[in-house]
Order: sequence, then structure tokens, then C-alpha cells
Amino acid sequence: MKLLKLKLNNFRTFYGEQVLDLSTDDGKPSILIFGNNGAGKTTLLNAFTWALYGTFTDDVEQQHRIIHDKVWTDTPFGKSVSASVELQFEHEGSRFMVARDVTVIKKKEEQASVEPNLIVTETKPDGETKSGDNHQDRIQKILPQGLRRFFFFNGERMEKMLTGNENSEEVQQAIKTLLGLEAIERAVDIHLPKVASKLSRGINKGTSQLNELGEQKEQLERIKSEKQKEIQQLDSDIRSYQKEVQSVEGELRKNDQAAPLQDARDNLSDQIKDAHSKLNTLKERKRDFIAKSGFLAFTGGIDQTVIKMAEAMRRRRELPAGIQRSFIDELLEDCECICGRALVPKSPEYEELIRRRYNAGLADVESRWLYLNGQMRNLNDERTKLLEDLTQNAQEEQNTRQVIDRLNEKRSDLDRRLDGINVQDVQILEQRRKDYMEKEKDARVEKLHCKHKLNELEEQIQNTRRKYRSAEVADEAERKVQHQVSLIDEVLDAFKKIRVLKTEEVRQQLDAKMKEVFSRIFIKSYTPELNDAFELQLKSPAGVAIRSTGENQILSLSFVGAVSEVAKEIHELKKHDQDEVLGGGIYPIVMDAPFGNLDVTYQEEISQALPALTSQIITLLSQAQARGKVMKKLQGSATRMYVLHSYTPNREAKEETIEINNRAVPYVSYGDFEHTIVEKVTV
Amino acid sequence: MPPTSQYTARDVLNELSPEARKLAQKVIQIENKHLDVQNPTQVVPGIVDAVKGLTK
Repeated sequence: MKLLKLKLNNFRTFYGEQVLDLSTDDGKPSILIFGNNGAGKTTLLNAFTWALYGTFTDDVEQQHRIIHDKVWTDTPFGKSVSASVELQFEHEGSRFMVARDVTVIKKKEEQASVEPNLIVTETKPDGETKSGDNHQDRIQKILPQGLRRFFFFNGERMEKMLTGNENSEEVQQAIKTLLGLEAIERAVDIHLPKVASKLSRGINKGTSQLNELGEQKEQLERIKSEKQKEIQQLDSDIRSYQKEVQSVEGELRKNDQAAPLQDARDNLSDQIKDAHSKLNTLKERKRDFIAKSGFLAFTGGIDQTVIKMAEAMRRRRELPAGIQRSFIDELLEDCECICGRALVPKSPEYEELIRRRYNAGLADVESRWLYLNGQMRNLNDERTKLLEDLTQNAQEEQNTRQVIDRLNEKRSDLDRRLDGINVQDVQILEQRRKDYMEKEKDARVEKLHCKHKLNELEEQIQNTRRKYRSAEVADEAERKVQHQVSLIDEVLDAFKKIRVLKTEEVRQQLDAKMKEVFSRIFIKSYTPELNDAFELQLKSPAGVAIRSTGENQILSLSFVGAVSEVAKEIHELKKHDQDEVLGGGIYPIVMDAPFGNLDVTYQEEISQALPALTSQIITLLSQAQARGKVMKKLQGSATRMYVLHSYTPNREAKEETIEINNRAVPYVSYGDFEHTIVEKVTV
Repeated sequence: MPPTSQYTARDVLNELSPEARKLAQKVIQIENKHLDVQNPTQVVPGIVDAVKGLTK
């Protein structure tokens, strides 16, 4: 997806028709758009997503007022008035025009919420133009709405993009959608089992074994699907309980008496989380030790026995050796050399063989013996090391558990103290918190139970499938269906494996890319990590780092850059490999306030890193965010620049200019009414 | 890119029987074609036809 043009028509603060050319030149991927506070940067960011999805972000107020205020006020009652956004872009060779508009007959003083109209037109490379019925679906296919947060976002709120307990699952799902794994997901979870059932039902109804097994399988698949839905519901419940707890804790922080205790509890909760993370790492390390070297624990004594046996064999010269004595004995007995010449007793050749017979095998026996002896002694050392490693790990595990117990005790004490605050509101809040935490715990236990049941069902389904494949068939029709269902099962198993492999492969790619982008921007020795559960963590030498807002912003930016680059790489791969199952693609990034609240050092680093993130980046920023070196770096990668020129009737406000290329460009001016127009600035 | 020595999706596809491999490609094509529809009605019949076509 490459953005080409954005056309606004009386859209919120933008008056009349405003056009932005968004195409970029090679090596200059940026479009810079400067705007004062209130000029419409956030509106412009939202214009993209409104055109594509018809929605605004939560921070946009008065969302029903789509039509510019002046245009609305000037429209007489009973007359038609409209506003629109048109976005043009290229995607996989075709040129798309997405036009969303609201058109209403004015009946009241105030604007009301109106359902916008959407038209999507596609012009293919051969010039053919089509505009079907499922406009929103077409956009969804190009850039699913779940992914908008990765490509259209506000830097000031970026730190929230990847925080919150629900983020890992959403991130995982969004990445699957972006990279095209959704097709495999749908095939595995929904369609292929349905196809197998449908084919099975094609057999004449009767009491044949195949028919019975088919029905059995269908029944199991149905229960499995219900369990999966149950788990989804539980996940959603858990997320909503967590939100409730967070909101209650936020309320507690507003109370003078409760706030210090709540802050202390937050601190303890972070420490407990870190300690649990450490405990999990230790458990993982123990599993690793056992998986790699656990067998050594059962070899105690065996090595000594082997050494003794080998010693005896060496003495008897029974260990394998290069040239065996028996071979030379045969030559002497047959009186014929290996080359075919006769061996005459007492001849030099005969005597040489006698001499060699004495030493035959000895050197090899010695070397084999040394090798075996070394291996066995090494085994002993390895076993001792394993024992030491496991003991140390167990000790660390025990210490960490003790730390967790102590922290939990402290937290319980804080819970009691918060309970004891004799303020009714605090007590009510504390009780609500407890209730929701209890509910969350119950939901987690239930989820675990469901997952266990799901595993059992999967095993039963696999068993039934095996029986189905080997069942006796009554006739040719049954044989055919048996073959067809087996084929479906074969593909189903392969897709399941591919899903696991590709998810892990993409996770590794993202993790590596994110580390690379992060290290380019961040000065501390922290390392970001996207773990197996797709949770984003920042590791410091002391363990999991407690992230500040700024660090979260850089982490999120690195992640966005990584997603964009990996999607591009996979897309390139797909072009050369027809078998490649993933999708990928090229996506632009549109970001408002790219530096959030970061200090100047990071602003400079980010202004340097931004152009490298993707092939097209539209950046919206204020004058305060574009000064000195930052401005210079940003300008260096810009194909085009625009200023959102604000007009205000407020004569007390100060007119402002913004300095671009040593030229003062009007930024805020007096006008008859509040509005913004877009003005192009020479690069 | 991940190291090539790992077991990859390509290895999984290579291990499939020729018929299953053709079917896998067809399934992906059909799924991708209808990915933008929430509850597509044409995917299951499409795959059924593909299986029947492959096992004539």
C-alpha cells in the first residue's frame, strides 16, 4: 500500500477542498506536515482512518461533527450539505480511490451522527476500473482495521500501543492478520473440519464403520469448536476484569489517604511480576538442563564399568583396530601377499609380515582405548557439572520463591491497610477490586480447565481420524470418501505444523528486527524482547526493566518499524516463491507527534531512525517538535512538506510563522472564522 | 531471516503427497479469495469441489 493523495472537503476543521500529494521519491520517504496545536494534526491523522474505516480514535471529541462548523452554520435549513475525505493509494499494482462522505439535509441547528457513504474504486494496471458492492470488505482485505494502530498512530499515546495485559494476544492476532496467516487459521479452525464432515456425510446413511467414525469425528469437532469459543469468551472476560481492577486502582490513587498505599502496592506488584518472570526463567533453565543432559543422571557407575571392561579388552587386544592380526595370519598361512605375489618363508617379505604381525592393531587399540577412556571420564565430569548446575538452579528457585512470598506478605499487609482506611469510598473501591480480582482468578482457572479439555478432545479427534483412515470400506463410494477425507486430514495436519512454524519464524524475525531498530535509537544497555508468548519486554542487566513512558514510546516505535520491515521482507519473498504461504506487504506509517514527550536526545535519534522504518512515512508535528538538528534531519528525508495554516477571528491571539528553509511561513493568521487550510512548502 | 537449517514450512509442504500439496495450495487460494468476508459461504463448497476434482 502506497499512499498517493488525500483530499479533504469541509472535513471538520478543514474548510473547502484541501489536497495533499503524498507520493514520495526514492530515498526520500517522508512527507512532513507542520501544524500548530488545534490546527488539525490529529484530525488529519483521523482523516486517513475515517476514510478507510469510518471511525475516529477515542481522543477525538464531538465525533458527530464531521462537517466544518462554518459550512454547517451557513447552510439554510432544508438544504443539502456534505463533507468528505478521499484517499488515493496504490496496492499490488492497482490504484484505489476510497471516498467516504456524509451528505445530509439540514433539519436542526446541531449536527447529528450520520452514517457515512463509502465508495471504493479500483483501477487495475490494464486500465480496467471496477467498483463492487463490498467496499468495506475490500479495504479490510488490504489493511485490516485491527492493524491500524501499527500504521496510523499518535506518538503521544504510542506507549499504550503495547502496554496493558491484553496486548500480547492482540499483537499476536494482528501480526497473523498482517502476515497472511489468517488464511491458514481459518482453514484449520473452521473450514477444513467442515469439509471433512461434509464429505463424510456424502456416504449413504447406514451402519458402516466409516459412517459411524465420521459421525463420531463430527461430534468431537463440534465440542472442540464450542470449547474454543468458551476460551475466547473467558479471555475477553479476563481482559474486562483486568480493566476494572485498573480503573479501581486509578480511583484509589485519586484519594489522598489511599494514594500512597496504592502506589506502594503498584510497586510491589511490579516486583512480584519481575520475580515471577525470573522464576519462569529458572524453571525454563532447569527444563533445558534436563532435556540436554538429564540422561547423565542415569549413567552413574556405568562409565566405571565401561572403563574396566575396556581395560580388559585392551589387554586382550579385542578393541577394534585398523589391521587385525588375523588378517596377516591368513596371508602367512596362504603364502600369498595381498598383491598376489608368493610369500616364501624366510624371504624378506615373509619376515616383514612376521614383524608387522607382532605390532598389528596395537597403535589403534591404544588410540581407541584413550578415546574411550577420555569419553567415560568426561561423562563423569559432565555428570558432576549437571548436579552442580541443578543444585544452584534449585537454590536460586528457592530464593526467588522466598522473595515472592515476602513480597506477597507485604502486599497483603498493604491490602489490609487499604481495607482499614475509614473512608467509605475507599472501602467500596477496595471491595470492588477484590471482587474483580477474584473473578479474574476464577476465569483463569476455568480457562486452564478448558484448555486441558481441548487437548483431550484433540487427542480423541486424532485417534478417530486414524481409525477412519484404516477402517474397512463397504464399497467403492466409501473408499473414495475415505481417501478424500484422508487427504483433507493430511493438509490439516500440515497447516497446523505450518501455523506453529510460521508464527515462531515471524516472532524471531520481529524480535531480531526490533532489537536492531531499538539499539539504533536507545542509549541505555536495555534489550527489547518479544518472547514466546508474544509479550514485549524490555530487559536490563538486572532483569525485566520497569519501563518509563519514554522507554515505552521507543519500544513501540521500534516494534512498529520491525512490523513494517518484516511485512515488507515477507512480501518480497512471496514475489519469488509461489509456494510461500505468508502474505506480508508494504505499508505506510502515518504518525502524529512522533516524539511524544521524549527529550531532545531521543528526538534527534528518532528523527534519524524514522525514514529507515518504512518506504513511506507521513509525519505530523508542531513547531516545538521540529527545531534545530531534529528539523534538519527530518527535512533531509522529505519529498514534500505542508503547513496546516490556522485562521482565527480571535484578535487577541498572536499571529505566528514557522521557519522552514530559513523562510518564515504563515502558521497562525487572523481570519473571519476558525478554519485550517493546507499549504505546500518548498522543500 | 531465520537460519535455513531450521525445519521450515517448505519442509512441511515437501513432505505432503503430490495430491495433498496441490490441495494445500488450492485451499490457501480459496481462503485468501474470501478473507475479507466474515462468514464466507463459498469456501467449504470450493474446497469440496477441489478435493473431488483431485480424487476423480
